[in-house]
Amino acid sequence: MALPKRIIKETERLVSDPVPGITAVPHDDNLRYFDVTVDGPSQSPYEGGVFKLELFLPEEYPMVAPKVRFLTKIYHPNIDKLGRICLDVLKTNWSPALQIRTILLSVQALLGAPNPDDPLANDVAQRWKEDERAAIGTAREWTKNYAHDAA
Amino acid sequence: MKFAKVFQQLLDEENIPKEWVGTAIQYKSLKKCINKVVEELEELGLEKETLQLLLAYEKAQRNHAQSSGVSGKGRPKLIYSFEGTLHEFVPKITINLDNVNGMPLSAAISPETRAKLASLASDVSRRSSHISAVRDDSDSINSIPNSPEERDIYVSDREDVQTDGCDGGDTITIGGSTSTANEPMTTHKSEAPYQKGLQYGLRNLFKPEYNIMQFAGSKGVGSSSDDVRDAPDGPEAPLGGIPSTIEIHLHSDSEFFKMLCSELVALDSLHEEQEKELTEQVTDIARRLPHAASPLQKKNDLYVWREIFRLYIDAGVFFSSLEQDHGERSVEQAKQQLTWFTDQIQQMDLMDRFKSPESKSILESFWKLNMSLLQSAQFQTLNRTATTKILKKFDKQTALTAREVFPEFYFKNPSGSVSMSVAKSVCFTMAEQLLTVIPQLDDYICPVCYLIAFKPVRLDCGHVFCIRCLVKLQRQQMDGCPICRQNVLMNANGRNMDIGLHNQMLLYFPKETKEKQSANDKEVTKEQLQFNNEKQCVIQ
Repeated sequence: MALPKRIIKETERLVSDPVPGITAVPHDDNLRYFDVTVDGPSQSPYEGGVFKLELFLPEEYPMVAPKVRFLTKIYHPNIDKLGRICLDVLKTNWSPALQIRTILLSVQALLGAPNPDDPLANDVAQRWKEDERAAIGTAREWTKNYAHDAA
Repeated sequence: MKFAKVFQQLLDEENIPKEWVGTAIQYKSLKKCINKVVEELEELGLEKETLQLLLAYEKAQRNHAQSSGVSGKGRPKLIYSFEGTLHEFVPKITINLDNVNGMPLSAAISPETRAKLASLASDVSRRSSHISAVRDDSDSINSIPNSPEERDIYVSDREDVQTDGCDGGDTITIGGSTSTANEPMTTHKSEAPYQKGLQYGLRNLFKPEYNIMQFAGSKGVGSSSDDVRDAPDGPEAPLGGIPSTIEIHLHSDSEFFKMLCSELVALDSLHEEQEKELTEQVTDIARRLPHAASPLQKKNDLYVWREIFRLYIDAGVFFSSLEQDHGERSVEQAKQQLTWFTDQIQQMDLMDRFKSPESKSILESFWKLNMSLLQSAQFQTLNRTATTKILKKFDKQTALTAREVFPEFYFKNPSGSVSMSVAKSVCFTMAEQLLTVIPQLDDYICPVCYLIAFKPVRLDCGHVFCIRCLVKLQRQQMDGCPICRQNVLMNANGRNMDIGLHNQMLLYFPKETKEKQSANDKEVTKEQLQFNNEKQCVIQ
C-alpha cells in the first residue's frame, strides 16, 4: 500500500531539518522501519554515549503510537533488558498530533530524567532507589562499555 | 592584513552606495585618536601596565567577594564610566582611595603598583603644567567639560562618586593652571621625593601652588583665583583631610567617544531611513500582488506565487528557522540563500508560468527589495565589526574597559536604541504584510494526516482537524484533542464545521481541496467494503 502523505512528510523533514543529537533513517525496503540514534543528554550518566534504537510505524499510525525499542544495552529504571521503554506518550498518552521527532525527543528526555517510581526494569529501579550513586555509576559504566562509537 | 585596510577595501568593492560610505565608521581617525588617549594616559602615569594591575586587582577582589559570599567591602577602587546623554557626555576614570590613610588600595596590592599610583598622584600635580586643567569658570565645575583643551581632575572626599553635585559640602576640586604650576613645581620636586607613596603624592596635590577651590554646601561656587589659599609650603601641608576620590576626565578620551558616538548616531538614522524606504517597498509589492495572484482574478498566478513564496520561506534568506542553525544569518549565508532562491525559480521555470502581465515586474521588485536588504545588512555588519574592533583596540592599548562600559551606555540612551537590524524589521513586515497575501498550505493542514484540513472541523478548544481524521478519532473513542488533550472531541458535531474556513480553502486551494475530497471518498468506500466483508464473514 502506498505510504501515507504524513509519513513521507515526516521523513522528509527528519532529513532536511534534523533534531540535534538525534538521527532517524528509514530502511530502503521498508519505509516504515527506521534506524535511530539518540545522543545521551549532557549532565546525565548517559552523556557521551550514542544509543541505537529501532522505530516502527504500524499500519494504523498515527492513530496508534510508533513502536520504539533500544538496541544498545542501557542501564535505566524505565528501560528493560529487551530495550522496551516505559514512557507514557508511547502508551496511554499517545496523541496522533505527536510525531517521530517529538517521540524521540521524549525518549532522549527520559534518559535525562529516570523515574524509578514507575519502573520497567525492577532490579534497576530497586537499586536506583536504594543507592542512587552506585546505580548512576553503573549507568555510566554501561554507557562507556556499550554506547561508545556505536561499535 | 590590517583591519583598517580590509574595511576600506570592503567599502570600496562591495558596491556600497557612495552616500552610505560617508557615514561609515571612520576607523582610521578613531585609531589615531586612540594613540592620543594612550599618550594622555601615559602623561598621567596611568600606563597600560598600571591600569592592568589595578583592574586585575579589582577582578580578584570581586571574585573573592563572590566566592566567599561576603559582599565586597567598600567601593571599587577604579571605575571607568560614562556620564550624561548621547549628545553631551563625558567618559571618566574614577579612582577611589582609602579615606583612612589615603592609600588607594588595600595592602594586598603589590608595592610596584603602589609606587605607580604614587607617581600618578604626584604626576598629576607635577605635570599639570602641560595640561592646563584649571577651570576658570567655576560655575561649570559641575557641568560636563566640553571645551577642547581641558582635562579635569577632581578630587573629592565624598562617598558618592557618581554625582558631581556639591551637596556634600566638603568637595574639593583641584586644578593646576599653566601659569601657576610650572615655576613652583621645580622647587617642590627637589623637596619632595614622590617615591614615598601615594599619601605623599596626594598631599602634593594640595600644595598651594595650584589653584585650590573649596566650595561648600549649596553654594558650590568658587572662583579659582580668588580662592587660592595661602597654605604653608611643603608636602606636609594637608588641606582639609585626605580626599577619597580622584576623578579624571581625559580630553582625548572624550574626543574619541564623541567621534564614535556621532558616527553611530548618524548610522542609526541612515538605517532608519533605509528601513522606512524598504518597508514602503514591501507595502507597495503587497498592494500590487493581489492583482496578479488573487483567485478572484480571471488569469491569476496564485499557484506560481505560492510556489515562489514557499521557496522564499524555505530559503530563509536572512533568518534560518532550522533546528541546527536558527537565527540571523551572516551576510555571506544570506547571499548564498538568495542565490539558491533565484536559481530555484529559474530551474522550475516559474517565470514562464506567469499568466498575469504584472507578475513579472512584481517579481523583479521583490528581487530588488531583497538585494537592497542584503546590501543594507552588509553595510550594517561591516560597521558593527568596525565598532567592535575599534573598541577592542581601545581597550587593548589603554587597558580601560570601554568594550564593556560603552555599549551599555550607548544602548541605554533612548536615541541610541535603534539596535535592531534593518533586515530583521523589514523581514518582519514582509512576513506580516506580503507573504500573507498568498496563504501557504502549511498553515491549513490537518495535524493528524498532514493533508489540507478539508472539510475543517473546529473543536471547542479551537483546534482544527479534517473531518476524516475526526471521524476516525471518534470511532476510537478518543475524547482528548490531539493537540491540547482537552476532552472536547466526542461532543464535536455538525455545528463544529468551520464554514468560513471551508470557503476560504475552496477559494485559495482549489486543487488541494479536490484531491483531499477524492482521497476521503476513496477511503470511505474502502472502509465500507471492508465492513461488508467482515459482515459476510460473520454470516458464514
